[in-house]
Amino acid sequence: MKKNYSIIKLNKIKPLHQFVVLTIPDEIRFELIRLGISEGDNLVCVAKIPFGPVVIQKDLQEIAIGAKFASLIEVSQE
Amino acid sequence: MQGNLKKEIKVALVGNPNVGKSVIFNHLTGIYADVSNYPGTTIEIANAPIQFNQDDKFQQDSQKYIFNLIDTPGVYGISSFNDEEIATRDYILDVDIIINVVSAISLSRDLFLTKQLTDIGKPLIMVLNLIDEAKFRKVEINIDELSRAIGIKIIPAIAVTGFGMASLKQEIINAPELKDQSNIHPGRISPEINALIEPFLDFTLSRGEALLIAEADKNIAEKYNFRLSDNALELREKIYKIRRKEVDALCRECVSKSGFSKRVFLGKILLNPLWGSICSALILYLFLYKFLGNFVAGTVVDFFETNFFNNIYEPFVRNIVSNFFPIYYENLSNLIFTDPKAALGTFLAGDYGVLTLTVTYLYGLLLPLVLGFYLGLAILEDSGYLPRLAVLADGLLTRLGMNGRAIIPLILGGGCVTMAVVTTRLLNNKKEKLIAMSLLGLAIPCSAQLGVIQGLLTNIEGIRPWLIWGLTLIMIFGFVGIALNKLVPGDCGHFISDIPPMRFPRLKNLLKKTFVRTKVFMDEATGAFFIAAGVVAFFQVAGLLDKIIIFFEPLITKVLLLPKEVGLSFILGMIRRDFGAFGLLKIPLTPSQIVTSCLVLTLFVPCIATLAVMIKERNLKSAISIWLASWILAFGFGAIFARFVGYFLV
Repeated sequence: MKKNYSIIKLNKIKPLHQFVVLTIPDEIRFELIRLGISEGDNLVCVAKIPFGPVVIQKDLQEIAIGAKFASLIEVSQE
Repeated sequence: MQGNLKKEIKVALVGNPNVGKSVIFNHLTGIYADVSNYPGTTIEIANAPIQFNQDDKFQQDSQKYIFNLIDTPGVYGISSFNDEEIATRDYILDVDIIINVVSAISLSRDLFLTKQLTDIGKPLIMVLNLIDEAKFRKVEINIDELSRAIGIKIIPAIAVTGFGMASLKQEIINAPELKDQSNIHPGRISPEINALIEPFLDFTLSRGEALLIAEADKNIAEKYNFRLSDNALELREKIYKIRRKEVDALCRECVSKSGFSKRVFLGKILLNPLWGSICSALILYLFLYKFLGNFVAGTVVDFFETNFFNNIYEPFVRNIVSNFFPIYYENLSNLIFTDPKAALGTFLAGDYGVLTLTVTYLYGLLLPLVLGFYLGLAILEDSGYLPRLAVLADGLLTRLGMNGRAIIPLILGGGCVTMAVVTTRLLNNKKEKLIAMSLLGLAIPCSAQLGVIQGLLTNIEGIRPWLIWGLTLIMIFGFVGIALNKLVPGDCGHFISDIPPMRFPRLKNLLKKTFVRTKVFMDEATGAFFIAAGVVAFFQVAGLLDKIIIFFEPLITKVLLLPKEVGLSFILGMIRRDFGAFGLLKIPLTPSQIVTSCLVLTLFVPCIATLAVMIKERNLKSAISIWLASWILAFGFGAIFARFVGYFLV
């Protein structure tokens, strides 16, 4: 069975959807690696504030990313 | 003499923000460093010797050595990304032993720093804190396996209860057993990373510095006159990715989890745009209107101020003073020249007497209000609510030229604007700091002033006056923020924040925090209150008070449509905002006048102490600009408001 994946920006992800991180812009790359997030990670979106941050979760750790940078992170979702 | 000299061993507490470093510092040294459930709290770096109990083993060693403990600011890694990191990095390079505090519920995040510390190669002990939280969340950690894999001793702990602290002390005191060589292991150095830092080991003094240069740390490279090459960042990324891979592997091997808890559910509700906003509005209402306004400023203050200070204390003092000097309550002008003895009596125990009014204000009003505010704030902090509020507010604050993190200084400003101005340091850039500082100076009332305002507003029938005051303030806040965002050049910074878990606040921590902060506040306020009251009492008997009131009369009566006596509150507010607000309580006002004066007083200039901190944190020009702008905006908005508020109150 072949699954369909679509590539979107992180700010377009819907709450409770899973996704895989594809690219992270240079400005926040190191900060996110430290917090535990890097390209290739399989994560889940726990909340999204309209015009505001996207909150994603890895293990038990929740991390909020402001709208501006969320719109620069590429992710793929099923 | 020589025999009394102790050898100093420097120990640093290092860890991610909000993992319990300050609580551990408190346990080890007996000294209280401000503890909260949000990042950026450790701004002043605490430093004190570790206290060993008489019954500790190795008592002899504690006689020979002095272990100086440093509580470093929380960081996610060490480099020169921001001021906190630079401070922490320099301490790490300098100390003899590192205690790495790690949260058991966020190992995949925290171990990144741990692995960086083992690569630095200094004696290292890990405190695995919050193991009770981990258990509650059904996270299982194989501590023996983790300890073996990293190559360091791990001490499980629940810092708030003190669990694990005795073992930690024991471990620290074991350190210098082998003469000058510590017997605490530095942990396993990653072989892959070790190969990458090899070229830098030749010209640096320590492995730590070699690692930091390999990770493209500009400051350390400059120290050795080393020019970072164009692909320096690629090497950093390579090292970071190796480390991240190692950490993820460690977590897979040593951590397992199952199930969810109610608290996780609550944490998620607060991040929901709709429910989170409803909860925030409800919390604001309960905290400001019900708790601070109705209960503290109403019931509690009434009880202390009226029943004790006005009815018992003040008559008692007046009775004593009047045995020696006459006290006058009216026709005070020129009293100092006509009857110096009565002037002194009035100065001491008259309407504005330093022994009567000042003491009543300080302990009957200020103390309960400040206690109430800090208790409420402590609950909000310790529960983990504030970082969630920061997430909710980020979208709005971005439009005002800041980011979500700015919510913390803005809320702290409700305690003491002066202190909050210092915490604007945790913002990203100059633009954000300037805007936050301006809004703090303009639109945020500080605790006692806030309390008096809440008391006055809740005293009028219904919730409408409170809502009018609150909504107008939010509108002005937004208007000024948007304008500043347009006017101040630069970009607003980015917002990336990890969200600490919701916790049930511990009573002991709440009370301790409340008392320590209240004490700091009261210590500062006491002197300022006596000076302010002394000046007013002196002006009164010297006949100057009436002249000042008359001078400001047109501005107060014509522009703001308020009785001329309110002018005195504004003048006093320039010295201390709370002292000014207290003055309002003495003046009979109509509901419209109450709401107007509450609004103008909120918007009016920051106090002298805040002004001084603004000059220190930025410069004289910004501080004076904010001060002058407050005058214009307070009276400008006040004049418009005074003419329309009546329509909304009916």
